[in-house]
Amino acid sequence: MKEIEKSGFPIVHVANMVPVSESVGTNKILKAYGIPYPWSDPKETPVRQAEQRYELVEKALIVLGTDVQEQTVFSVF
Amino acid sequence: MRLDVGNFYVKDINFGDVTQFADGVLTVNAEEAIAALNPEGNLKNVELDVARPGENVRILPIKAAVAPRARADGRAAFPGYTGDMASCGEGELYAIENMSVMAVGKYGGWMEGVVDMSGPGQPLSPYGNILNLCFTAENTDCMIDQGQHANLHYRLGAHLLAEYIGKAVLGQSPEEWITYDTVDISDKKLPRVVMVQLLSTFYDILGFDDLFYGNDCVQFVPTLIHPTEMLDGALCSGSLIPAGQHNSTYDYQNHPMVKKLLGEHGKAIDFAGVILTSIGPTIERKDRAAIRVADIAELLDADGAIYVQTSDGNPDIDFFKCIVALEEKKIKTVGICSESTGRDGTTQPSKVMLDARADAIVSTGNAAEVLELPKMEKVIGDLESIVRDPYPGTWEDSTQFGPSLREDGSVIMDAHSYLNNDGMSGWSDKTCKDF
Amino acid sequence: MKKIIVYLNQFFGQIGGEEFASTKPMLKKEKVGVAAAIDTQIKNGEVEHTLICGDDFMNEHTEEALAQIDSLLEGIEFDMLIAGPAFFAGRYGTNCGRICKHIQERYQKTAVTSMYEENPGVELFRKEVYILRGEDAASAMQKDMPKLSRFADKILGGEKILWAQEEGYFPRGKRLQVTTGETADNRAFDMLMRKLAGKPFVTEMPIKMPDKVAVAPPVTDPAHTRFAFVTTSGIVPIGNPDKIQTGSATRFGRYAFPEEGVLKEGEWESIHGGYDHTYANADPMTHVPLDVFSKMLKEEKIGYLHPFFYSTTGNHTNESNSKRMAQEIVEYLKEDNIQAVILNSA
Repeated sequence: MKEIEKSGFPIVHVANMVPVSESVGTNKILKAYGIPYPWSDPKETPVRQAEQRYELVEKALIVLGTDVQEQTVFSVF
Repeated sequence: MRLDVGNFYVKDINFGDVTQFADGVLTVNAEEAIAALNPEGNLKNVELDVARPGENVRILPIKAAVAPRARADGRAAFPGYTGDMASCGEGELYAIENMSVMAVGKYGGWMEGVVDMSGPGQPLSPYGNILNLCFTAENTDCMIDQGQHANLHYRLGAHLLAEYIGKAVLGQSPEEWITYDTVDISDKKLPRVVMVQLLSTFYDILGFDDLFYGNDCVQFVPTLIHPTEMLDGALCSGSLIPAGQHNSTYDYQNHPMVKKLLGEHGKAIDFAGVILTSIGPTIERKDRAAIRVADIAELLDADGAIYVQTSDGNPDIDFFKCIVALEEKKIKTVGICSESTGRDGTTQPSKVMLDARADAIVSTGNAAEVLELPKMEKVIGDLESIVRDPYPGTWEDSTQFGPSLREDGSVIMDAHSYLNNDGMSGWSDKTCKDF
Repeated sequence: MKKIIVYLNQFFGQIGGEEFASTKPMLKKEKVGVAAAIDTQIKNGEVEHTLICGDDFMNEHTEEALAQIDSLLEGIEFDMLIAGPAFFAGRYGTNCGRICKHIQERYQKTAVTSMYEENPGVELFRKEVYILRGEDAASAMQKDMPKLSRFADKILGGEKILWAQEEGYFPRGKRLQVTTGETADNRAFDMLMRKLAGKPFVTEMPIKMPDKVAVAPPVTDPAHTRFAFVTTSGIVPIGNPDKIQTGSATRFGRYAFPEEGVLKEGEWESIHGGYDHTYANADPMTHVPLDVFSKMLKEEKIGYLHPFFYSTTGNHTNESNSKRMAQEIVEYLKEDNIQAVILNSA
């Protein structure tokens, strides 16, 4: 991640294990649902899961568009 | 709670007509033993073999390792798992020391391990220096061998066999009795110490996590137990963690750190108990576990704690979070863990996250240490599994090391797949240093 | 008897002071100044030559200086080069590092030096060269020089070199396993007892927090931005055709997003060893949300989606492989003029 950002690409790290990302020094972190299921919660119906995925990707776009000065963790929940 | 363990030291294992233990020699009736470990026929092609220290023998893929135990009061060796639910940690327990019972299968994978009985691999884990009574088998339903291995039948088989073997010493006089007890010594005003053991628990589906009194530890909530419960069969191993960092049931039954703390009870410390905790699959559950552990420790008036890790990777987060939670309650903590410094020693940092508040760590070595193991004349199990199956510590080919299994039968692998190489329960005499 | 060359700057080489810093390299078949003392302190070798070079010349004309040194060394037999000690002299320390690295690379002989922690030479060369910890002023010569000599002697004698703290050199970036005489249960107990008693103790894993990367500019107009997706969840086509490893990955896969705009169950699987695969195998889009990207493309919420996704596993992946894979992926992204990246981990 840091390597990709060093090359100039804005990047957001979508991950459940936020402390790992924080420790690595990633700048933009967006909380994910879970390790085996980052983009949606399998306990929900497929329809609701598709909605969750959409919301989370939408938030990822917003995070990419946000100017941050230092490491910031974002969340939809 | 007082547990009296009567130890019998086995010197050799043979096969014969009657299963018995006499003059240090264990004789096993193979047919009976196989029937005992495979009562419902869920395994097929079951064979028994013995691996002795110093022999030119390699064992793999190992799916379970259990120490033979028996209770004089007729209670199951593993209540809730091999027999009816009952309490553990008190009374008389017969133990056959210097051996394990191992389940060896055909297919390897994420959690299966290798042990060499001689050569450079031998000193890496306790199994190289004890007798291992192994059964090799395949699943009757071969569909189970695909995907991730829960190894249910192998694991149960190993525990049933350990229980069957353990009964061979019932009615005899042990060579020695060791008493493990945590009497009330509050008048001595010694520092109160708890041990925290991270269990192999992570999945939300049944079949992979450790078993606590036979109950799958799925969605486990931190739980306080008497130290002697762990030595007496309350905890049985799951099928989750890479072999190098895996606590087999054998490790729980012989837990060096637990024994050390029990030995110091009344002398240097007041051993308040063991808190079992889990690897959270989400940050919320990691936080919940860390908070619960610290709260329980506080309830016990703990002054100090020793946190024993298992695995690495995202469990490193549990490691640091829990230690920080304890330190924030002014409970002085030492953490025991292995590091992942990589196959060439340059991986930094050696844990997936760091927190400088964990200022007292015992490192048990490099989880990714490259091991060069010579060809072994005899293999118990399936040597081809090394390059055929997805062990985390082996590879089909590599530009740097070549294939893990060479044509001459020698092996190059990393410690992730060497059974209990990391010895976090206290076995390990290894550490890591900056070079 | 092993032969040693000692490298010194113009001052320690007794040529002169700062005005002689542009002195070109010279090789003297004698033990000049410090070299003589080093010689008496080493048992397994003897100093036959002193190599002297002005600090400015080496610093400002490094390539030329090294080329001249190579000519001087033609036909000279030697087993080791010892440079310095350089204390806090920045040019000298850096030059000691340079000459040691050069000797190792070109002549395959060991070269060692010594300098103070804050000497810039340390950060530049400690990974490749053994640099002994030294003090910050030349007045410490009688401390630093014997340490340097002793260490060089060990190497010449074929003795095993122990870890950094034990031998007194700056850590070279490797952390290796070592067998101690004591099991972890006793070590942990002793450490806890010391900690409880308020006595000093030494952690076996000192912790240093890692450094940051500058934030890339924000994406202000996603509708006109070109995106790419990367995952370390280990989602691969069924059968894992590229044999991506379940852990300790050294390679990644580059997979075309299906035309239908969704990832179907049964066509993809997870091969990441560190979590249970049930959810991923049932619905790969819980790791790779292609349905959302497809929808957003139709809605014109995102300008463009790179037609391939990059997939590897994130457990036990070491730093150098991660960096290399990232660099390789960056090449593909640059080729396609990608402007922003979404990356997820398991």
